[in-house]
Amino acid sequence: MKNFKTLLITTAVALTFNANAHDPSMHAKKAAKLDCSGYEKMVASGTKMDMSDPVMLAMMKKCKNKTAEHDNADGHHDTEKAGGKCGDMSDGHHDADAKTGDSKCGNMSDGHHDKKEMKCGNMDSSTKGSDSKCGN
Amino acid sequence: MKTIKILMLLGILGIIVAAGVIYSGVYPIGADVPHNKFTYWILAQARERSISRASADISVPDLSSADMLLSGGADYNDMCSSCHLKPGQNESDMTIGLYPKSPNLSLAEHEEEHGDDDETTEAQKMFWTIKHGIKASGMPAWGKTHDDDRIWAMVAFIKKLPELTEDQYQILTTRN
Repeated sequence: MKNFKTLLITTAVALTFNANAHDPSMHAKKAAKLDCSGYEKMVASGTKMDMSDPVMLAMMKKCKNKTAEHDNADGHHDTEKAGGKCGDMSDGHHDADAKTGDSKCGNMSDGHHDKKEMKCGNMDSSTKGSDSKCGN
Repeated sequence: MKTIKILMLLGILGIIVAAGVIYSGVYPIGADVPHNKFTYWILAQARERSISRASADISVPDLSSADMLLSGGADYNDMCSSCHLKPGQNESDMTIGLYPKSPNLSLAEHEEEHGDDDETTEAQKMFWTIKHGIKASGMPAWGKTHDDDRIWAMVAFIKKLPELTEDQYQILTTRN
């Protein structure tokens, strides 16, 4: 009888773990660490980014916090480095910070951005406000 | 009348032979011995026709959001990539051992296998297959543990997968 109870409890515990096995938080424990260096290199190289491309938007969303953490760890405040410039890039071109290679804000509502690095701004309805540091 | 009798006799004979083969155990059931072409063709036809019929009425949501890619990417990496691979990977222990061989979803050639399907049909079939699985193929029914939203997110990610670089894949699939 005791053996039967032990078996019953063991089975119940095993089934409970099984039911939770596909909770995303369970996966997170074994997940690899996010590495945004590829994205940062791409941004730094000035590769043109298509703001209507969901892959690009997903990468920006994923890496924005990582990049912000990296900047803070370096003791930099990006708006200072960029001269605190925030502009409207609604014409699709933004050259103001091309020399510093670092832009942090602006309205990129037409989906084009030729800048070296971008951290925030109004890009389109799907990302609006999601990663803006400077506002629109 | 005589012809019908002969056909019936042949039919019964066929059933007896098939039963004999099944019960004798001579058919190689190991995954390391492929089906003969005839058996493979029959099973492949049954699979494709069944999925087409069952998925025909599924309505496909908008699959173009970045959030869907992030959700689907993380799930794909955890649940699918060991069999269906990822960019830059050609094989894994699972793909080497699995039979029937699981399609490499990171390659565009995979899409050509369903060349006649339009975007919607392809998404419908993909959703159904992920949700319900395929018998005796190693493909599980993920619908038992994942809701439709998560499965559609996986469909959205898989449709983009052949275009992804290794860096993009890594960023989109990391779960944090």
